[in-house]
Amino acid sequence: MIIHSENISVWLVRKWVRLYTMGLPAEDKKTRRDEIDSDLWEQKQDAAGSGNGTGAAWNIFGRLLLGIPDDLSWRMENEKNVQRRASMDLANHLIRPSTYLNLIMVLVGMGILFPIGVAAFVVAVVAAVVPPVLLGTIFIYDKGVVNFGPVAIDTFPAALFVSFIGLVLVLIEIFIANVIVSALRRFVSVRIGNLRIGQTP
Amino acid sequence: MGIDLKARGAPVFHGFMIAKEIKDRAGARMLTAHGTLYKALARMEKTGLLESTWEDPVAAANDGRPRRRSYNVTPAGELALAKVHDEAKESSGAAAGLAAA
Repeated sequence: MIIHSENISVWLVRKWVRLYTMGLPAEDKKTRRDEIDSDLWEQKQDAAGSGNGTGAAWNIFGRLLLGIPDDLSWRMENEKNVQRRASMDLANHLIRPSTYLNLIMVLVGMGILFPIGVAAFVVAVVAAVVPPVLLGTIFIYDKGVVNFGPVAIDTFPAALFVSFIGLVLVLIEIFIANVIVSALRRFVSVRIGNLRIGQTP
Repeated sequence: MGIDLKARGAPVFHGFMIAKEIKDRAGARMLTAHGTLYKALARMEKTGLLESTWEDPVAAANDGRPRRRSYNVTPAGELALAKVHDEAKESSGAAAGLAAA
Protein backbone atom coordinates (compact mmCIF):
# COMPACT_ATOMS: atom_id res chain seq x y z
CA MET A 1 0.00 0.00 0.00
CA ILE A 2 1.40 3.39 -1.00
CA ILE A 3 0.62 6.28 1.31
CA HIS A 4 1.37 9.57 -0.38
CA SER A 5 2.97 12.17 1.88
CA GLU A 6 0.48 14.67 0.46
CA ASN A 7 -2.40 12.63 1.85
CA ILE A 8 -0.81 12.57 5.31
CA SER A 9 -0.59 16.38 5.29
CA VAL A 10 -4.19 16.65 4.12
CA TRP A 11 -5.27 14.22 6.85
CA LEU A 12 -3.44 16.27 9.48
CA VAL A 13 -5.02 19.53 8.30
CA ARG A 14 -8.49 17.97 8.39
CA LYS A 15 -7.93 16.62 11.90
CA TRP A 16 -6.70 20.02 13.07
CA VAL A 17 -9.72 21.79 11.54
CA ARG A 18 -12.04 19.30 13.26
CA LEU A 19 -10.27 19.97 16.56
CA TYR A 20 -10.39 23.77 16.57
CA THR A 21 -13.95 23.98 15.24
CA MET A 22 -15.21 21.53 17.88
CA GLY A 23 -18.08 22.93 19.95
CA LEU A 24 -18.89 25.78 17.55
CA PRO A 25 -22.38 26.07 16.02
CA ALA A 26 -22.96 23.49 13.25
CA GLU A 27 -23.14 26.09 10.49
CA ASP A 28 -19.84 27.80 11.43
CA LYS A 29 -18.18 24.43 11.72
CA LYS A 30 -19.39 23.21 8.34
CA THR A 31 -18.50 26.46 6.58
CA ARG A 32 -14.92 26.35 7.85
CA ARG A 33 -14.45 22.65 7.13
CA ASP A 34 -15.88 22.92 3.61
CA GLU A 35 -13.73 25.91 2.80
CA ILE A 36 -10.52 24.20 3.93
CA ASP A 37 -11.53 20.99 2.13
CA SER A 38 -11.99 22.93 -1.09
CA ASP A 39 -8.62 24.66 -0.65
CA LEU A 40 -6.86 21.33 -0.02
CA TRP A 41 -8.46 19.82 -3.11
CA GLU A 42 -7.38 22.80 -5.25
CA GLN A 43 -3.83 22.59 -3.93
CA LYS A 44 -3.63 18.86 -4.61
CA GLN A 45 -4.88 19.41 -8.15
CA ASP A 46 -2.37 22.19 -8.63
CA ALA A 47 0.45 19.97 -7.36
CA ALA A 48 -0.70 17.11 -9.58
CA GLY A 49 -0.46 19.49 -12.54
CA SER A 50 3.11 20.45 -11.66
CA GLY A 51 4.06 16.90 -10.62
CA ASN A 52 5.55 17.99 -7.29
CA GLY A 53 3.71 15.87 -4.74
CA THR A 54 6.37 15.96 -2.01
CA GLY A 55 6.74 19.72 -2.29
CA ALA A 56 2.97 20.08 -2.00
CA ALA A 57 2.93 17.83 1.08
CA TRP A 58 5.47 20.06 2.85
CA ASN A 59 3.66 23.15 1.65
CA ILE A 60 0.34 21.93 3.06
CA PHE A 61 2.00 20.96 6.34
CA GLY A 62 3.74 24.36 6.53
CA ARG A 63 0.45 26.15 5.90
CA LEU A 64 -1.07 24.17 8.75
CA LEU A 65 1.71 25.05 11.21
CA LEU A 66 1.97 28.72 10.28
CA GLY A 67 -1.79 29.17 10.42
CA ILE A 68 -2.28 27.77 13.94
CA PRO A 69 -2.17 31.15 15.77
CA ASP A 70 -4.73 32.60 13.33
CA ASP A 71 -6.90 29.50 13.56
CA LEU A 72 -6.98 29.89 17.33
CA SER A 73 -7.75 33.60 17.20
CA TRP A 74 -10.52 32.92 14.63
CA ARG A 75 -11.95 30.37 17.04
CA MET A 76 -11.89 32.91 19.89
CA GLU A 77 -13.59 35.55 17.73
CA ASN A 78 -16.25 33.04 16.78
CA GLU A 79 -16.83 32.07 20.39
CA LYS A 80 -17.43 35.74 21.20
CA ASN A 81 -20.04 35.90 18.43
CA VAL A 82 -21.70 32.77 19.80
CA GLN A 83 -21.87 34.33 23.27
CA ARG A 84 -23.32 37.51 21.77
CA ARG A 85 -25.99 35.51 19.92
CA ALA A 86 -26.79 33.60 23.14
CA SER A 87 -27.16 36.87 25.00
CA MET A 88 -29.59 38.18 22.34
CA ASP A 89 -31.57 34.92 22.62
CA LEU A 90 -31.70 35.39 26.37
CA ALA A 91 -32.99 38.93 25.86
CA ASN A 92 -35.70 37.67 23.53
CA HIS A 93 -36.73 35.09 26.11
CA LEU A 94 -36.79 37.71 28.85
CA ILE A 95 -38.91 40.26 26.99
CA ARG A 96 -42.23 38.45 27.45
CA PRO A 97 -41.90 37.58 31.17
CA SER A 98 -40.48 41.01 31.93
CA THR A 99 -43.46 42.62 30.20
CA TYR A 100 -45.91 40.50 32.22
CA LEU A 101 -44.01 41.19 35.43
CA ASN A 102 -44.08 44.84 34.59
CA LEU A 103 -47.82 44.72 34.05
CA ILE A 104 -48.41 42.89 37.34
CA MET A 105 -46.22 45.37 39.22
CA VAL A 106 -48.18 48.30 37.83
CA LEU A 107 -51.54 46.67 38.56
CA VAL A 108 -50.54 45.88 42.14
CA GLY A 109 -49.00 49.34 42.59
CA MET A 110 -52.07 51.07 41.28
CA GLY A 111 -54.34 48.83 43.31
CA ILE A 112 -52.52 49.89 46.46
CA LEU A 113 -52.00 53.54 45.57
CA PHE A 114 -55.26 54.46 43.88
CA PRO A 115 -58.34 52.87 45.49
CA ILE A 116 -60.71 55.11 43.58
CA GLY A 117 -63.56 52.99 42.38
CA VAL A 118 -63.61 50.17 39.82
CA ALA A 119 -64.49 52.01 36.61
CA ALA A 120 -61.97 54.82 37.00
CA PHE A 121 -59.34 52.33 38.12
CA VAL A 122 -59.83 50.14 35.01
CA VAL A 123 -59.76 53.14 32.67
CA ALA A 124 -56.61 54.47 34.31
CA VAL A 125 -54.87 51.08 34.16
CA VAL A 126 -55.73 50.52 30.52
CA ALA A 127 -54.74 54.03 29.48
CA ALA A 128 -51.51 53.98 31.44
CA VAL A 129 -50.31 50.43 30.91
CA VAL A 130 -51.31 49.32 27.44
CA PRO A 131 -49.65 51.94 25.20
CA PRO A 132 -46.17 51.94 26.77
CA VAL A 133 -46.04 48.16 27.22
CA LEU A 134 -47.21 47.62 23.67
CA LEU A 135 -44.85 50.20 22.22
CA GLY A 136 -41.91 48.97 24.27
CA THR A 137 -42.50 45.37 23.26
CA ILE A 138 -42.92 46.19 19.57
CA PHE A 139 -39.85 48.42 19.69
CA ILE A 140 -37.61 45.69 21.09
CA TYR A 141 -39.07 42.89 18.97
CA ASP A 142 -38.84 44.89 15.75
CA LYS A 143 -35.16 45.66 15.88
CA GLY A 144 -32.50 42.99 16.02
CA VAL A 145 -29.87 45.50 17.10
CA VAL A 146 -30.81 48.81 18.65
CA ASN A 147 -28.40 51.71 18.80
CA PHE A 148 -28.60 54.24 21.58
CA GLY A 149 -25.95 56.78 20.64
CA PRO A 150 -22.67 54.97 21.02
CA VAL A 151 -24.25 51.92 22.72
CA ALA A 152 -25.49 49.08 20.54
CA ILE A 153 -27.57 46.51 22.36
CA ASP A 154 -25.68 43.63 20.87
CA THR A 155 -22.56 44.91 22.61
CA PHE A 156 -24.46 45.67 25.81
CA PRO A 157 -25.57 42.92 28.21
CA ALA A 158 -28.94 42.37 26.63
CA ALA A 159 -30.68 41.02 29.71
CA LEU A 160 -29.66 44.08 31.71
CA PHE A 161 -31.02 46.28 28.95
CA VAL A 162 -34.38 44.51 29.03
CA SER A 163 -34.59 44.99 32.80
CA PHE A 164 -33.69 48.65 32.36
CA ILE A 165 -36.43 49.11 29.75
CA GLY A 166 -38.84 47.37 32.13
CA LEU A 167 -37.92 49.79 34.90
CA VAL A 168 -38.32 52.81 32.62
CA LEU A 169 -41.71 51.51 31.50
CA VAL A 170 -42.85 51.11 35.11
CA LEU A 171 -41.80 54.70 35.90
CA ILE A 172 -43.54 56.04 32.78
CA GLU A 173 -46.68 54.06 33.56
CA ILE A 174 -46.81 55.24 37.18
CA PHE A 175 -46.34 58.83 36.02
CA ILE A 176 -49.08 58.57 33.38
CA ALA A 177 -51.38 56.77 35.83
CA ASN A 178 -50.81 59.56 38.36
CA VAL A 179 -51.71 62.19 35.78
CA ILE A 180 -54.82 60.29 34.67
CA VAL A 181 -55.99 59.56 38.20
CA SER A 182 -55.43 63.17 39.30
CA ALA A 183 -57.41 64.36 36.26
CA LEU A 184 -60.17 61.88 37.03
CA ARG A 185 -60.28 62.94 40.68
CA ARG A 186 -60.44 66.59 39.69
CA PHE A 187 -63.18 65.83 37.17
CA VAL A 188 -65.17 63.76 39.68
CA SER A 189 -64.81 66.34 42.49
CA VAL A 190 -65.87 69.15 40.12
CA ARG A 191 -68.94 67.13 39.08
CA ILE A 192 -69.76 66.38 42.73
CA GLY A 193 -69.23 70.03 43.60
CA ASN A 194 -71.52 71.10 40.76
CA LEU A 195 -74.16 68.60 41.86
CA ARG A 196 -73.97 69.91 45.45
CA ILE A 197 -74.24 73.49 44.21
CA GLY A 198 -77.21 72.48 42.01
CA GLN A 199 -78.93 70.78 44.97
CA THR A 200 -78.51 73.80 47.24
CA PRO A 201 -81.83 75.62 47.48
CA MET B 1 -5.57 41.11 -5.24
CA GLY B 2 -9.20 40.24 -5.94
CA ILE B 3 -9.54 43.29 -8.17
CA ASP B 4 -6.46 42.24 -10.13
CA LEU B 5 -7.87 38.75 -10.56
CA LYS B 6 -11.12 40.33 -11.71
CA ALA B 7 -9.25 42.50 -14.21
CA ARG B 8 -7.58 39.38 -15.58
CA GLY B 9 -10.93 37.79 -16.37
CA ALA B 10 -11.85 36.00 -13.12
CA PRO B 11 -15.15 37.61 -12.08
CA VAL B 12 -15.08 35.72 -8.78
CA PHE B 13 -12.24 33.98 -6.98
CA HIS B 14 -11.82 31.41 -4.26
CA GLY B 15 -9.39 31.16 -1.35
CA PHE B 16 -6.79 29.02 -3.07
CA MET B 17 -6.67 31.38 -6.08
CA ILE B 18 -5.87 34.27 -3.75
CA ALA B 19 -3.22 32.26 -1.90
CA LYS B 20 -1.57 31.34 -5.22
CA GLU B 21 -1.70 34.92 -6.47
CA ILE B 22 0.00 36.18 -3.28
CA LYS B 23 2.67 33.49 -3.56
CA ASP B 24 3.38 34.22 -7.24
CA ARG B 25 3.57 37.94 -6.68
CA ALA B 26 5.79 37.78 -3.65
CA GLY B 27 7.91 35.04 -5.20
CA ALA B 28 7.39 33.09 -1.96
CA ARG B 29 8.01 29.37 -1.63
CA MET B 30 4.93 28.71 0.45
CA LEU B 31 1.27 29.60 0.08
CA THR B 32 -0.38 31.75 2.74
CA ALA B 33 -1.37 29.65 5.74
CA HIS B 34 -4.98 28.46 5.83
CA GLY B 35 -5.72 30.18 9.13
CA THR B 36 -4.25 33.53 8.04
CA LEU B 37 -5.94 33.52 4.65
CA TYR B 38 -9.45 32.54 5.72
CA LYS B 39 -9.44 34.72 8.80
CA ALA B 40 -8.51 37.72 6.62
CA LEU B 41 -11.20 36.86 4.05
CA ALA B 42 -13.81 36.45 6.80
CA ARG B 43 -12.91 39.85 8.27
CA MET B 44 -13.02 41.54 4.86
CA GLU B 45 -16.42 40.02 4.23
CA LYS B 46 -17.66 41.14 7.64
CA THR B 47 -16.56 44.70 6.96
CA GLY B 48 -18.29 44.67 3.55
CA LEU B 49 -15.18 44.74 1.36
CA LEU B 50 -15.93 41.30 -0.06
CA GLU B 51 -19.03 39.21 -0.55
CA SER B 52 -19.14 35.45 -0.91
CA THR B 53 -21.43 32.76 -2.25
CA TRP B 54 -21.24 29.00 -1.94
CA GLU B 55 -21.29 26.98 -5.11
CA ASP B 56 -24.18 24.60 -5.76
CA PRO B 57 -23.08 21.29 -4.14
CA VAL B 58 -24.63 19.26 -6.97
CA ALA B 59 -22.60 21.12 -9.60
CA ALA B 60 -19.43 20.60 -7.55
CA ALA B 61 -20.23 16.90 -7.05
CA ASN B 62 -20.71 16.52 -10.80
CA ASP B 63 -17.19 17.87 -11.24
CA GLY B 64 -15.96 15.45 -8.55
CA ARG B 65 -14.67 18.08 -6.10
CA PRO B 66 -15.76 19.85 -2.92
CA ARG B 67 -17.93 22.93 -3.37
CA ARG B 68 -16.12 26.24 -3.61
CA ARG B 69 -16.80 29.45 -1.78
CA SER B 70 -16.51 32.22 -4.34
CA TYR B 71 -15.57 35.74 -3.31
CA ASN B 72 -16.26 38.97 -5.11
CA VAL B 73 -14.97 42.47 -4.38
CA THR B 74 -17.82 44.81 -3.46
CA PRO B 75 -17.96 48.46 -4.64
CA ALA B 76 -16.97 49.41 -1.07
CA GLY B 77 -13.94 47.14 -1.42
CA GLU B 78 -12.92 48.76 -4.71
CA LEU B 79 -13.31 52.18 -3.13
CA ALA B 80 -11.19 51.18 -0.13
CA LEU B 81 -8.45 49.88 -2.43
CA ALA B 82 -8.49 53.07 -4.50
CA LYS B 83 -8.13 55.07 -1.29
CA VAL B 84 -5.16 52.97 -0.18
CA HIS B 85 -3.52 53.43 -3.61
CA ASP B 86 -4.05 57.21 -3.42
CA GLU B 87 -2.57 57.38 0.06
CA ALA B 88 0.41 55.29 -1.05
CA LYS B 89 0.95 57.61 -4.04
CA GLU B 90 0.73 60.67 -1.81
CA SER B 91 3.21 59.32 0.73
CA SER B 92 5.66 58.20 -1.98
CA GLY B 93 5.35 61.66 -3.60
CA ALA B 94 6.08 63.30 -0.25
CA ALA B 95 9.06 61.00 0.30
CA ALA B 96 10.43 61.85 -3.18
CA GLY B 97 9.97 65.55 -2.42
CA LEU B 98 11.92 65.20 0.82
CA ALA B 99 14.70 63.27 -0.93
CA ALA B 100 14.96 65.96 -3.63
CA ALA B 101 15.19 68.69 -0.99
